Amino acid sequence: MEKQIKPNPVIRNLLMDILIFIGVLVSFSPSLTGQSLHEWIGLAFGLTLIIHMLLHWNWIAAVTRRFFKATTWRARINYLLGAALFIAFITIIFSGVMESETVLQTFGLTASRGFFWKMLHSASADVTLWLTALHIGLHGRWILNAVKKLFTRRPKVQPSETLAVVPVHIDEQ
Amino acid sequence: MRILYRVAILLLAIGLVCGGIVLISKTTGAAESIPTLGTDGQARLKPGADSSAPGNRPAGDLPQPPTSADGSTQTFEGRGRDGGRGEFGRGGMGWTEVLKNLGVLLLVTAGVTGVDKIISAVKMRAKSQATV
Repeated sequence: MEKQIKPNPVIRNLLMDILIFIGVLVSFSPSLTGQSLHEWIGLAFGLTLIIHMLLHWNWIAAVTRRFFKATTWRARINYLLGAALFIAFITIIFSGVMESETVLQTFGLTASRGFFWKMLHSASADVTLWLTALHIGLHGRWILNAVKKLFTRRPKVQPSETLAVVPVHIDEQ
Repeated sequence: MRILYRVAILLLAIGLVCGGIVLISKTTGAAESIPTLGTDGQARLKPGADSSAPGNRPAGDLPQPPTSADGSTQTFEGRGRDGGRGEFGRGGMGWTEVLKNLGVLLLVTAGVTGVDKIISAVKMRAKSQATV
């Protein structure tokens, strides 16, 4: 029978977060990628955002249930920051789509040429950068522990090294 | 099945945020009231607006983009955050922007982590003093 290897959730989350971090840096620098690639990367970033939230769904659901009851202030702050980040990222993506040149054209639509969407896109990007930094900062300890875990090899337990159960007589005195 | 239910909730939340943005832009009239550039390079006003009002004075001709030595027109687009659209945006600016964003992220992260460590150390000390 083949042994099924289950991925470590901490390592899986860390790798996903590293991917998102790189995504943030790349999509926040349109002059690096060029406009059309910036638009597609931004749209794909929305998908990774959904995956990130699905991976942490249990935490989100638990804090939502206990927000006004028994929970720590740290969890509450994290939750509110996460909600603000969610709104900010959706604002960036939505305003970006509204003024996009490549993505909308692909679907046969014409972009709005209004200044409003450009301003909203730029302002929400600035706010999001600071919120992202705060979000990472509040998870700094978790990140450090996860990185340590990633680079620390867990010693394999050999069958011969397993502890044997030896019956011991305890004298009743 | 459970994952579909979760995705549906997320899509609903995304829809609510997008709907809220559209609603705000429509009720405040922000998307229409700001002059937009026409294809002729002239600043355009909202239809019916008083063009003689101080705030609504026509902007006149916008500065024309410089021309190259070969006579072709260069574009202003592509500077700063919106770089990459024109001839100026691509290249060196990209990495500077990445480094600037990385710097902001790392500095704020380090600051928050430091403050977090100080708070937990103070809490631990208070706890240990209380038990003594």
